Amino acid sequence: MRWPVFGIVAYVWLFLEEGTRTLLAIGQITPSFLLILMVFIGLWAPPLTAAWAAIILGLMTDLTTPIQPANYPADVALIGPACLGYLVGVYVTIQLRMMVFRDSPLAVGVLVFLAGMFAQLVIVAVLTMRGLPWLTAQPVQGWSAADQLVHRFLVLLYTAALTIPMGYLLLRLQWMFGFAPGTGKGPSYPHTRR
Amino acid sequence: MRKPVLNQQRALAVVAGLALVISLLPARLARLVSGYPRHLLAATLAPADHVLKPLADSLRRPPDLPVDLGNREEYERATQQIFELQYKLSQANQRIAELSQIRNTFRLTGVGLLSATVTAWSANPSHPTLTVNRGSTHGLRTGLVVVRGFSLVGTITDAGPVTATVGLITATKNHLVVRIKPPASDSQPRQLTIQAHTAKTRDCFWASIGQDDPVQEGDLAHLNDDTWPPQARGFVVGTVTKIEKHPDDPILRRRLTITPIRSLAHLDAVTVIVPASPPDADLPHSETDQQIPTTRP
Repeated sequence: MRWPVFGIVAYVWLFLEEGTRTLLAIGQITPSFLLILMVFIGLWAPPLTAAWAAIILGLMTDLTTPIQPANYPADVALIGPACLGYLVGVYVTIQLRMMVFRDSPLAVGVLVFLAGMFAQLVIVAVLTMRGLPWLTAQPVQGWSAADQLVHRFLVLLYTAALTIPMGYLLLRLQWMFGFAPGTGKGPSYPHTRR
Repeated sequence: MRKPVLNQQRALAVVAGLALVISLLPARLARLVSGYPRHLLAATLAPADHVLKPLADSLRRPPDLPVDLGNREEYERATQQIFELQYKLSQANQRIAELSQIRNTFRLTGVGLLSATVTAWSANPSHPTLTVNRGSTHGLRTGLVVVRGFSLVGTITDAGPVTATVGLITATKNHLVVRIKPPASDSQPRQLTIQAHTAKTRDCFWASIGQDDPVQEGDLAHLNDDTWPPQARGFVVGTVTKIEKHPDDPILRRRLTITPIRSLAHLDAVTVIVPASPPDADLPHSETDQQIPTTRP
């Protein structure tokens, strides 16, 4: 995979996600563009490359969604939950990618929903762990795992629905990423093809 | 031939383990780890968001709730006078500093107002935030009060060099003590102090009152909370939009819904109140509410 292309697309996706949030929001439900990109990378890139890309996308998500720890005056961009969640999500994508038509935006949407469920479960689990009494970390202020799961389920539904146009766009741009055709074993441009 | 000690799989496992450890760190340490990358990313995104968010807001923006604060012309004229006086005061201060040359430091004892443009909104249900294009280099710090006109928006919860995060008043932690007062056009002298809780939808507040408490739809809820900085006291949290029977006690109690006058998610600009001294060093406030807002709505 061409990392510079990935970096530019990830930046544009994050900027679009932040900039269009008020436009696309249904109440408090907003789509996650980075999750779509993660699944797209998971569908086409070699497993290790996809895993590193998922960690980077998770890091970007963590850095842009601060939490408010209990009894602490400032908020904190907690690095970790989304990194781990996206890592699990991309693993699920890699396991399932041989069973779907990767060229179909609908398949990308289904995988966004499935992989996203695992990713969100991990994120909620990690943030819930902060509330365990034997850990030194402060719990998240007003945290309710059940509320979060419901909210994130709705976010996933919305994201999956939005994946059809965005997945189509990403599939059109697929040649730029330099994935190996079919095998997912490496870059596809001629001078590095194995 | 021996395998290298650090290959990609092991590095990935180490990074994953590290992510788990960092995510369970106490807030102070986690903030140290994430501070610089967070501010760097926010500073990188700010110029692009600065262009896209106003465009998105212009396409879809809920209307502001109508509110009666008295004679609008008089209010605007007074606000303009405040701006002019502030400008004259700063000019006078400059002249004093130049002429005296004895004082090495000059501290403005009043309150400064700093305008900032909103570049992003985060819909995180447990901690909704705005990102603004001013940071610690502009004098912002954690705990400062953020308003928009006469409406209270929230407080600064994190200040990077060129951006800052504003925790909104509708965050879960907020159980605001508010004073319900009639709008300016209502001549009836009535007021009530109650505790308002954030609704689950995170876009309004609710509160319980007795059957006979003198509250009407359209009344304004002013902040009257001792846990907030004194500068925030008196700013409008919202307007009473609904009064209904309390579901748990329909005979004796009623339930109020207080909705912010402006949609906090769609704000394009805010004003930060910057006191001359750090927020902790502020003197105890008086009971008097700040009825006259200091900026234009």
